Amino acid sequence: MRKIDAFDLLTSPAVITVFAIFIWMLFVYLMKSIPAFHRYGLDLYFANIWNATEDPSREQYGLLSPIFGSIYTSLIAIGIALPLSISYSIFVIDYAPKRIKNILIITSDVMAGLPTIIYGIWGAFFLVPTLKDSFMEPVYERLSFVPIFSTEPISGFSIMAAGVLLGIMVTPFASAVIREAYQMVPFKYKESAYALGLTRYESTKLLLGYIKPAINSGIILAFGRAIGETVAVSLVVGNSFNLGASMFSPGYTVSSLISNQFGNAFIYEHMTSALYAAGLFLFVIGLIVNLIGLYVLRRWKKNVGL
Amino acid sequence: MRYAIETKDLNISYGDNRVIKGVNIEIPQKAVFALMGPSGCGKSTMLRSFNRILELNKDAKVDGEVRVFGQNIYSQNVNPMNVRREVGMVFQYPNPFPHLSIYENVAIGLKLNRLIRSKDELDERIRWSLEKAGLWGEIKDRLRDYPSDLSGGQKQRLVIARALAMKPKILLMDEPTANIDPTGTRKVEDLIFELKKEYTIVLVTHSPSQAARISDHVGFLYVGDLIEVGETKKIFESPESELTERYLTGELV
Amino acid sequence: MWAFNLRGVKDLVFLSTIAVLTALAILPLLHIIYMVFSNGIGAIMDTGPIFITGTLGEGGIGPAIVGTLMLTFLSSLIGIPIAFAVGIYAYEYPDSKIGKATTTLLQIMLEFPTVLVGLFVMQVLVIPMGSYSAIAGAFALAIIMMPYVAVYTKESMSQIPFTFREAAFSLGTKRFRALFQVLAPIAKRGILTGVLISMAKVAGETAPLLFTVGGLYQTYPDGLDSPIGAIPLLIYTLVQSPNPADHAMAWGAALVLLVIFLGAFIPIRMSLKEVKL
Repeated sequence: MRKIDAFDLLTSPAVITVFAIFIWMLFVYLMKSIPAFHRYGLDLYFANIWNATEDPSREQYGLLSPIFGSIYTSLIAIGIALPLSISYSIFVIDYAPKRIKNILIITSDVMAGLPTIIYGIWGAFFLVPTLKDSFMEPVYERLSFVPIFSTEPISGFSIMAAGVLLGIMVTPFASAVIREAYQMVPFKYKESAYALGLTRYESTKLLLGYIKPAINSGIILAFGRAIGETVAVSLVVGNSFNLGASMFSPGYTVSSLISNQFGNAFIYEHMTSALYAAGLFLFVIGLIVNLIGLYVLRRWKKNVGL
Repeated sequence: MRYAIETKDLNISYGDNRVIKGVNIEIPQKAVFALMGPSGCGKSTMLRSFNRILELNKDAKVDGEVRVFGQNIYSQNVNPMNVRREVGMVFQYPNPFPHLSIYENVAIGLKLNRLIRSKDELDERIRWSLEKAGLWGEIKDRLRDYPSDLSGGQKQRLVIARALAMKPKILLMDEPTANIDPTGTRKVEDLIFELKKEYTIVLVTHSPSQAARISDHVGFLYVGDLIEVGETKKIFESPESELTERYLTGELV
Repeated sequence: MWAFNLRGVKDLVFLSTIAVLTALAILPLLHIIYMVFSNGIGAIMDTGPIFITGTLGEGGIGPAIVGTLMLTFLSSLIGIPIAFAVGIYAYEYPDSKIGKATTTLLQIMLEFPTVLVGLFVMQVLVIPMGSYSAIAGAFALAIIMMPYVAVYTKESMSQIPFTFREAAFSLGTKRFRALFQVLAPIAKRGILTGVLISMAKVAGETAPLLFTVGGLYQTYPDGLDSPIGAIPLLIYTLVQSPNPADHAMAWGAALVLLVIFLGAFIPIRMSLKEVKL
């Protein structure tokens, strides 16, 4: 129908480039992982073992521990982000006076864009020791029978530290989505809630129900962000292969594994491929989580006519 | 005598909604033709089919012929760009480009289309356009200023100058005075009255009194149908259709 | 009577909880800024101006600062033109299949794990070239920057009132002229803001540089195809060292980075009336 004109010719190369880079990336990860899959099969993802030796025949890699760590820390992160981002959004939209509102929004944006290494250095030198002294040690003393608190916090570098740091880091991302959605709630719904004589708590609960898919989307996207974070996490998570319920133990995430081990991977024959396979996991998970999050948000927007 | 614009069985729809239904209209040259009717009856839509700017709306579908000086502008081998150089447009909201000076606003069409190369010729054309638009005297010392300082009426005359600079043969005007104060409106209407000596002007208006004031011919559009068309004097004094009469007396809004 | 009181109490609890949690959400930033300033100032003061201009041997982070500037500049050179074109494309074709796919791809890449980009560029640039390089780092950063610039461009263009679009096209020029020479300049403030924010963001990235630039702190960078350092990368290395002197330097470098980031980000962000990201 429409002819191709100079505009298309000018912009398509750029569009093609972007798609090409993405597909090429995926391709590289697939290709470089194949040797590891070949060698270890599905155990690559489901076994917890990391045997790096000079003897190639005895090299054995399984990514279960980092995968577990990634998921565990990200779950803690969204557990923290959920209440914080919802409260923040409600406060900013409903209760903050105009001047403070703008400051709060800009603060959230700053937190979203802040270089992650700064979170990392603060995490390593402040959050970790503080969490250890003021939370982990007292809790371990009294509640070590609870599985998630069952190991002794020695240095403080732990799954929990990573989870908390990630929670702080991804809250602004969830907030952006939730805040935007909450702001779009048509005023007439707010009016009718109050007109019914509901208290502020009750009407807010009602309106939150209205934007529930947006909240879900915000949390899903925050999860995706958390699982992909590398630098800040690797400075606080402890970087050791653990697999257990306790969040006080150190652990690994897929991203921190990659950043940590890649430097010396070339010494061993098969580690590089295993690390690419780890990267592939992150790639696919990141892709799926993001797509789901976006889909949920789009569908909700369409359903409510926004 | 060739008409400036003729339509043959023009049908325009947005999706499933037909807004112009089988309209045949003939617009004479060098005169003001007013399209009037209640809001939402398709006048602006039809106007936009005359320079194919309607295509900016992806849902719009056009069937039938629109002949500009005898040539069907909707035939396959016609480039809409060429149509728009012959048929200029003025809009409901005075919209000079805010980021360009007054001079650059008038010059933009010429520059982008590479119609004039030399600086002197360009200056000459700018002056000519602004004079034709009745604006030269008021802003000749302010050519480098930005349009944001101008009044609504002045902005609209700047937009007219912008269109005239291209030396089109036809000027389409979509409710040009709808968002201007009465003084500005008067000036724009006087200008239209002047311009019709040289240009064919198609004027969409929601005000029958405006049509009565400045148009030579008028067409009454109601819910996509062309109810009545003819010389202004006749239509206003003795309309043939009852619908027209009801519109003119203000019953239909 | 009792029921009413209970609802009232719930309300109060609710409000206080909201306020407390909101404060908790914001507090970390304040504390981070406080810590970086108080620890960093000490480190910088102790070393003096050499901290900014000297090499690592002299106790300074000069090469890292230069590295960050070079990398940011280079990646912008590569990434911005492409991203701008993609953004305009996504704006012009919001409904076509490719257009929608493009928008979706941009959204996906917005928060793509940056370490994966770095690893990818290592594989396709560093290894064939045989060494770490500034150009590799710039490519990695460009890939990360592109979705931001593209989305900001698209959103800024979308905010142009439709009447200007009609006016631009009514002039009868070719589409690319109407878009690039009339409409884009109308949106230039929003686009420029997006570009600057993206540059600020990319200047603070660490993971993409891990496998691409190598790090260079004893001397100043000398070429695009040789290793280069950057402030975030230096901090990352220093934090992991067992030496407390290195930690002090890390805080100092973090302060420099924080000042650069806030100094750029806050004014730019405040000039935007509304940010859609």
